[in-house]
Order: sequence, then C-alpha cells, then structure tokens
Amino acid sequence: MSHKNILKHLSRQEIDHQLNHQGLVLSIGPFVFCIQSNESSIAKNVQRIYCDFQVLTHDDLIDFYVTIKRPSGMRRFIRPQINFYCDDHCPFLPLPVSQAFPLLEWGMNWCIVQHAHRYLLLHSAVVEKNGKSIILPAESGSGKSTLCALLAQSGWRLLSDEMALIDNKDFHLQALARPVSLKNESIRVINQFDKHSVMGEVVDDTAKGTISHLKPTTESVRKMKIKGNAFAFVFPLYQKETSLTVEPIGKADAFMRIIKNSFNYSILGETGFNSVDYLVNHTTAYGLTYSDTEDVLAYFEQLVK
Amino acid sequence: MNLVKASKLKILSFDEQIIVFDPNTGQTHCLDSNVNEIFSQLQPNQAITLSQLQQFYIPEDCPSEEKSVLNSYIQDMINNLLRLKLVFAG
Repeated sequence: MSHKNILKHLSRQEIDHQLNHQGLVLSIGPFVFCIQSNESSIAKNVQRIYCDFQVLTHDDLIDFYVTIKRPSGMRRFIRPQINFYCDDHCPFLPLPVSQAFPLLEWGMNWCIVQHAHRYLLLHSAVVEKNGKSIILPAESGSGKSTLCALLAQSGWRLLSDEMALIDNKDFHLQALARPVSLKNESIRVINQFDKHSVMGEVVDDTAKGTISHLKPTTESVRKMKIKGNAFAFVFPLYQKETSLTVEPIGKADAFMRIIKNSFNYSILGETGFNSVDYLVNHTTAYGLTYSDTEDVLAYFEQLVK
Repeated sequence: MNLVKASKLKILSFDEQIIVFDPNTGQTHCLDSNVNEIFSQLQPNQAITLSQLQQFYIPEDCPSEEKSVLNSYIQDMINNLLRLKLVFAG
C-alpha cells in the first residue's frame, strides 16, 4: 500500500526537494504525473494551485515523467529560456524562463492529448450541477475558460477546463479538474467576481497574451474520481454588449461540431464514432451567445434545474 | 457507369441529414438524408448502372421536364458520393 498525502500538507522545502530530485508525483484525475524542475516559479505555482491534489510516491504507477529545465549553454544565463520534456522527449521550442509554469501546463495537456486514447478527447470545458454535466466545447477566444471559471466559482463542480474526457467504454465523463487557464481581461473579471479566488502568478507576453491559472475548487479536486453524466452540449460565444441568445442545434450539426472540437476523433476511428453517436443521442445541444455574467449564470442554473 | 458503394459504412439518420462514417478512410460526412435512398439501392459487392438507379427513382409516367431535373439531381448526388469515395464507379 503506497503512502498517500495531500500537497498542502507538504512544506515548501519538501516540495522543492521532491521537484529538484526524483520528482514530485501527483495524482491528477486518471493520470499520474511525476514533475521535475528546479525552477522556483514551478515550485511556487504548484504549491499554490495544486495544493488540494494527492501526492503519490515513486512506488505508484506513473503515466508521465515531465521535466521543466533550462537548456545547457549560454541560454541558461543570457535571456534564459526553458524547455519542457516528457520522457526525455522535447516536443516544443524553448520559451522564456518566465513562462515556466504555463509551459508545464501546456506540456501536461500535450501528454494527455498524445496518449490518452481510451477517451474521446474534446477541446472543451466541463462543469456539473445536480448530477448533470454540461460540456462546453469552444475554440480559443470564445470565452470558454472565463465562463468555466465563473461557473466553478459559483458552486458548480469543475470537471475540466481544457478538455472533456469521455470514456469510450461507458461514455461517462472522467473528471480532470486541473487549473483553469485565464487569459488577458478574464483574469481581472474572475478576480473581481470572486475576491477569494486563488490564482497563480500572472505571466505576460506569452503566445496567448497574459496568462494566469485559477486554482480548482477543493470540492472539485476532492470529487475528481466521481465520473460525470453528459446532459447537454453548450457551444458558448462571448460577444461584447449582446443580449443572451440560445439556439438549439440539430443532432447532425451537433455531431459534426463535436468532432470538429475533438483532439483524437480521427485516431479513434469507429470507436470515436460510437462515442459521439452515444453523446448526441443522450444529450441536447445549444449555441449560446452572451455578454452579461448574471444572465449567463442564470441560464445555466435554469438548464440543470 | 457501374456503381458500388463503399463497404461497412455506418450511417446515422437524423431529421433531414445523415451522418456517414466510412471505416475505409476514417472520414465522417454529414449529408442530405436523400442520400440514404441511394445507399439503400447500392451494394458493396454488386454493381448497378446509373440508369438502373435513375429508373428506380423516376416513374415511367414522369413528365420529361421533371424527369430531366430528377436525373440531374441523382447525377449530382452520385458525383458527390464519388468525390467522397463513398461510392465507386467501374
């Protein structure tokens, strides 16, 4: 039986030690990551944002060994850069060292998208209330993460901000309550909406603009082993100064929109087709345009009533 | 033109559209539900001619102007299915 603990019970010194040496082993939904890095920003952000996650040991089965480290040579010192490695493979170009934590988050997404094909993976947030999971597939810039954060900070259970994991065997939603990636104006919006929200450091000048990560609620992390049941697809689009509109989407259109938002539908073949078939036939789908926070929150409350 | 349809197609029928998954190419297509009637006449291993297909859908007593429109409609659908590799011509 392996020793189990919650990260918040570890001191910063212990976290530093594990990150700097063998690696900090975290249970994150259905995956186990071993994270190695001697960057202080990684330790600081991991401690703050992943504080509710379970720490495992090296005796546990580890899915991904990930490392954030500086390249060798002059770039360690002059305009220092940082690399992400998964099992010694470096899939991305180096980034400025200030982007170490966002790079870790992107890298962890990459690990899941490249390997977790027992799930149909959708680029989507997932939230749940009253046992009803709402899947919010959307392209970048649609306001998906802001909406997801608003709902999560309003008492909804966060299943995922970045990707929906649909089990190809039982079609349930696997929770992956990782930090919510907020960009630009949405950082201020969420800070104002909930003064108690916990954010990681604010990182400027990334490829996606200014980024900060919102800590998932303790309740969402605690319930991560509980699977969700898909109830509805809502395709959100934030449009400034528009009133809230909801349009039902036909099943054939919903099918095509779902596969357009999938990371691995083309890899899964018939298995993916069967999963989307199940989802489309057991949910309803809507297109949602909104701008006002109160209106959109009221809409979601009504949806799961 | 002899026509056969691709083998092992999976088809989901909705109100006015169908979703077709072709395991041979891994592609998924959203098509007009009328295509389903074409598929119902075609087999993967037994060819029929385009004119046989047209005869099946167009009654003999059909006015010639309407007949021409229907022929062209069926031809367009077949051309689209050939382009998508859901139907093959021999």
